[in-house]
Amino acid sequence: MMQTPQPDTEPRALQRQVFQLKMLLDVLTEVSGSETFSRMLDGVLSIFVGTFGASGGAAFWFDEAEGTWRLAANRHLSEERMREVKAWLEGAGGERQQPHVFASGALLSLPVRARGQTVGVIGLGRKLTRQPYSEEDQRLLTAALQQVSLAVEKSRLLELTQLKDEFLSRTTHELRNPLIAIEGYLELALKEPEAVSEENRHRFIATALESAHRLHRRVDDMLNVTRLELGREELLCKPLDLRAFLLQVTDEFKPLLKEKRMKLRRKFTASPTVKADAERLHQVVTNLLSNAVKYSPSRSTITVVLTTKQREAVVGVQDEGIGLSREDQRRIFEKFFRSDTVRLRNIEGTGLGLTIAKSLVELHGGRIWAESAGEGKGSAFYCSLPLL
Amino acid sequence: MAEPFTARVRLATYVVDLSGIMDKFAEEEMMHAYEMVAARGAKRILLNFAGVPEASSAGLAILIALLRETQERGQQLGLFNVNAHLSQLFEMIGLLDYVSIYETEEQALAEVA
Repeated sequence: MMQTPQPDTEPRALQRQVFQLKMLLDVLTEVSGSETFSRMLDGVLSIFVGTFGASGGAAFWFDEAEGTWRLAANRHLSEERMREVKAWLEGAGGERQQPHVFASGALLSLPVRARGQTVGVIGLGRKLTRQPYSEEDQRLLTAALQQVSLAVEKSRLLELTQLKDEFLSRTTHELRNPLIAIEGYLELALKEPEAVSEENRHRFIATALESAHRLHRRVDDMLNVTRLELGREELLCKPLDLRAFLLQVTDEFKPLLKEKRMKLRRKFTASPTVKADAERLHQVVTNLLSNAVKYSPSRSTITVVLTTKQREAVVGVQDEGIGLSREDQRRIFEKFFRSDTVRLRNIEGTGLGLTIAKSLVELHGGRIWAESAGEGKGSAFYCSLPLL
Repeated sequence: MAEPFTARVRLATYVVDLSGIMDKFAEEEMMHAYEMVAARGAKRILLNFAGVPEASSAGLAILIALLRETQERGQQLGLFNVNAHLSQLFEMIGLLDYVSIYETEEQALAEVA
């Protein structure tokens, strides 16, 4: 544990302490004033290098999509030192949570913690004075990095707020459209008998009813998310023959697939039994199938896979549709998230379906994930459930 | 007896006059000036700090970066007209182990070989 240092009364030492404490203010200014995350990192790195007279410095950030550490900013830290920091980050012994002075004394690594995990690391090269980094240096740098951590959290919150605003705007739009359609078609249907044929009246009512169903589904999505978030969703789990279950759900989709001139292929290589709430699991698979239909061209094929792997049953829905970028794959299950491709094509949706699916699968003790070779190359969504 | 006459030719010595507070916003201007003299084959570079009253930590990082560049390119770096406060800062971060400070331009030009 680091000791709180006794104040040094030597004028030079006091000057050094004042200068180093000023660093906290500089970092705060940088963190609050930078326009982009990368500029903030670069600025903070400069402040550290200048304050401690480090020969160089670099910042690494964890890329969740790739699952690797990436160089985010560099101020003259040598290749050799960068390799040392990366080796330390990726080395055995789990997540790095504390500052680390390398045995050579030529390098100091400082983890940046946010959301309860190490999201970044700052590496500082040897001091020009050749003095080792003291515990007091590490304490100060760690305190400064807390500002960076807060900035990371803040940017995340800001992003979430923007997503919520966008969601509200989109939801209003999506709720209003079916309502306008219902009103319009019911008004047409209620016209005098001589003004509208019986056939058209029936068609208007059917269209109004379809819009009402659409509205119902939207409202259900929102209520589902709220219930799941509040932990109010309770499962009624019973042993379930997954093969028979999937045959039934995919059969339900046949009329829609026929309408869209799409083919269905079922590749069932196992007949596992799982403990599941059939109604909730139906919701999950229906969501995956609906997405596959929505985001795939006509005449394409949707393949539903059922297999087992170790102690899990795996259900997959593969399509030949618009595909997912790496960023989309990473974020596709986030609440309100909609990919740029989907937005640009004005495809309707609340961005809640996959969030609900993920929560429901996890309530069953399973996992859900997405795979894609890239945009335009189709997608595959898989969920696994523990075998009974 | 009079000192023997000498004729000393100093090629590729460049003086860069700096002005203003040296903070993070100084980087572009500093590095631009450095690249300009480096492109002309500068072997010795003297920075005139007469117009620099203060430097921030980010400003010191620019000097360290400049030091690294000159070391990598085999160039000699010297400073002059540095006020007492900046001189203390440079000493504190260890910069003066690698760079000399001269009082005046004449002294710097005379000393930097």
